[in-house]
Amino acid sequence: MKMLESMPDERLPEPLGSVVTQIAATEPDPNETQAVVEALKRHAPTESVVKRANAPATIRRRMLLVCPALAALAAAVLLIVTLGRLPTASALELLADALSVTPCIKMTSSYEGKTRESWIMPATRQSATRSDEWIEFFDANAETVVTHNRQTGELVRSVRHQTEFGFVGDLVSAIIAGGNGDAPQTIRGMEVISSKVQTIDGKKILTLELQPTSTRSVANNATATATITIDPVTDLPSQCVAKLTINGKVQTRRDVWSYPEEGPANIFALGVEPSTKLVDRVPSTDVKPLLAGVYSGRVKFDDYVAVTIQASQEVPLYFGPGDVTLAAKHGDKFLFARYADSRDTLQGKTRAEVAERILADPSQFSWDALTIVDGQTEYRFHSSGHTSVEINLPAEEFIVPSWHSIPHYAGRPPLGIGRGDVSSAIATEAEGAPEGCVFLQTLHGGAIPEAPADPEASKRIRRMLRGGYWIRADRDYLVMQQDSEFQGEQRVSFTLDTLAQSPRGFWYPTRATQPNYNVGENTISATHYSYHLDFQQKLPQKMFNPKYYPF
Amino acid sequence: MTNDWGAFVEEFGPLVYASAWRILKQRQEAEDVTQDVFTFAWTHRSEHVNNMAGWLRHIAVRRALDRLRRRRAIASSDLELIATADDTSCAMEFSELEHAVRTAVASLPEQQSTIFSLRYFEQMQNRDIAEHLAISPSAVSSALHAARTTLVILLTPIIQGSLK
Repeated sequence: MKMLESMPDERLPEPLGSVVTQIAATEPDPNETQAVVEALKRHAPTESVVKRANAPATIRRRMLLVCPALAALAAAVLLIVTLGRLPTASALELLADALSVTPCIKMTSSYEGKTRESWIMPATRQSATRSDEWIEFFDANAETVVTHNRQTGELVRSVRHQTEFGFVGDLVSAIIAGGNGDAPQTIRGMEVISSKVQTIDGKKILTLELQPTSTRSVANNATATATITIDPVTDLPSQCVAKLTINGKVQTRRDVWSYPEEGPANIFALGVEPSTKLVDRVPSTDVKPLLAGVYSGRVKFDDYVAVTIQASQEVPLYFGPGDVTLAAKHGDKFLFARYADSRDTLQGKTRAEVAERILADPSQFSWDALTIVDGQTEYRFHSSGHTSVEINLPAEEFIVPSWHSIPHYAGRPPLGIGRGDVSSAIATEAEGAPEGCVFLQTLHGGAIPEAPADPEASKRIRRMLRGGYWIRADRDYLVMQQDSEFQGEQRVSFTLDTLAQSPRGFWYPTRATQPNYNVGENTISATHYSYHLDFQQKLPQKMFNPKYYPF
Repeated sequence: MTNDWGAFVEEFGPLVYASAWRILKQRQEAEDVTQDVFTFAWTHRSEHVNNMAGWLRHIAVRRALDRLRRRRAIASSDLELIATADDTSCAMEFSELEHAVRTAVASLPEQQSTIFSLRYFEQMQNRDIAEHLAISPSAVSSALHAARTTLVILLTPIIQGSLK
């Protein structure tokens, strides 16, 4: 075992030091190492392979992770090549390599009378976009995006996680399928209906017909085609015309591809005045552990089935639609439903009696599903039926409606910190702290600066509202109290009153209070939440099926 | 540098593979990185390199960290990956702590993560790191300080959680 020799000032604090020392001492199995070396020795690179190897697979894949839109198009090209040529791995490799050796890919897009320029820099994992309305520069390494609103002049740096990664999985599948000689039949939820290869004036024209299969797309009779021109010399796409037909209306998007030697280095290279003041919304290093703690508790929370009751009174309890809800978390499945039973057998009981009766067998009662999550697919229900939405957001950004009623969200809500419209800081001298809490203060401005194209954005309030979260580290970073500004005053908006621990030791609320400030009457009433959790029960699988619920 | 591919791989293969494996802890990916490193080195074999072993380890570490960042991108955020490092039990095993540390190192700015890995995982001296990166030894020390500070902040709640 190797020993780490550190200068005293370079020593890592424990237990971090022990973990790092252990990693440093890690060696692979000698037989495995020998096998790798022998395999590598048998594959001495030829000059042509050497040339390809200058653009290793890592760079190709990094490029595809940086810009989902370009990744989508690149994958579509790959797919077409797979279908239009011999579907061999070498054909796919040629195209992927041709794309990956370019230091910068630029796309000029025309859509509905607007023009937008996009750049992607694979080696540096950066991308940029410029339109008449905004300019943005995204750095995938730092997970930050700098946005300049060209209408208001705002320049904001905020957090952006890699929000789309499912396509890469599809892409890899497509490559593997191509390598095996099997042309893929679907890609990213779109079914491949047909493909056609033509040569016109020495140029290859490849046409792909796709059928979107999402519930919404099917309902709108959506179809799509992509016609791509490939340069026969470079094997690079030079133009793509995509047509999307929705309910008979055709929308056309035209992309012209070019390959400059280098892309913009930062947002100022795209025309933003260097003197423009930067508003930084990226959480500071002292805030990040709090966010991680809140988030971690939510993700790791035990599986459960719960009844939540929200009402102003205690006993006897007479409740209406939405006052009693059912939540269930089973692995990557999640159900949130509203009590919809017309029988009045539960009315007039105590909260505990209502919860006990339901938890004895939830399937014996009628429910209106509000949200179902199954893996990466989310179903949201409306009165006319349900729509399915594929989730590609990090869970932190996935906001479950009515989260006050969901036990593992009630003390761990999505905080919104890192968004362009929210600034945050730990307020060390905040008064009125609940026991053991630190105050994570927020300033929330209605409009989201990085969404100038959103027609609703200008209607939202521009004034910054003060608020914040009282977080208790020794209770698994539960948000014990939320404050928000109301008519110029700082008021409590939600409080956890009593807590319990799950079998795996995670704290969660059993009671919470939401004050209601009655404008005009100058009175305060309150809605009391009670959370009744069963950690042993498993809901029947049918209750996670959208078709189980009547619409 | 030799023009004998087999001898070149024989001499430095175990070292490069071990560097990649320490960071990735996954054979297939470490093997891919090893192949990338040797192919890259072979194309640059006409260039003069003072310390071949150090140079190869440097490339291996950078490529391996790239891979780790890609895993992180697939998991969508470093916080998510760290948070889900232990998805089934409340108390983290030591190996899971290692995983969290690797993930946190990969989440550092690129230069910091490379320098940290070379110093602490590969146990290279600051002056050697400085030479390979063509920066001053004080810049290496400064990057190490920043990396240590960030890692302590990032990992403290995770490690504390594992100890409860």
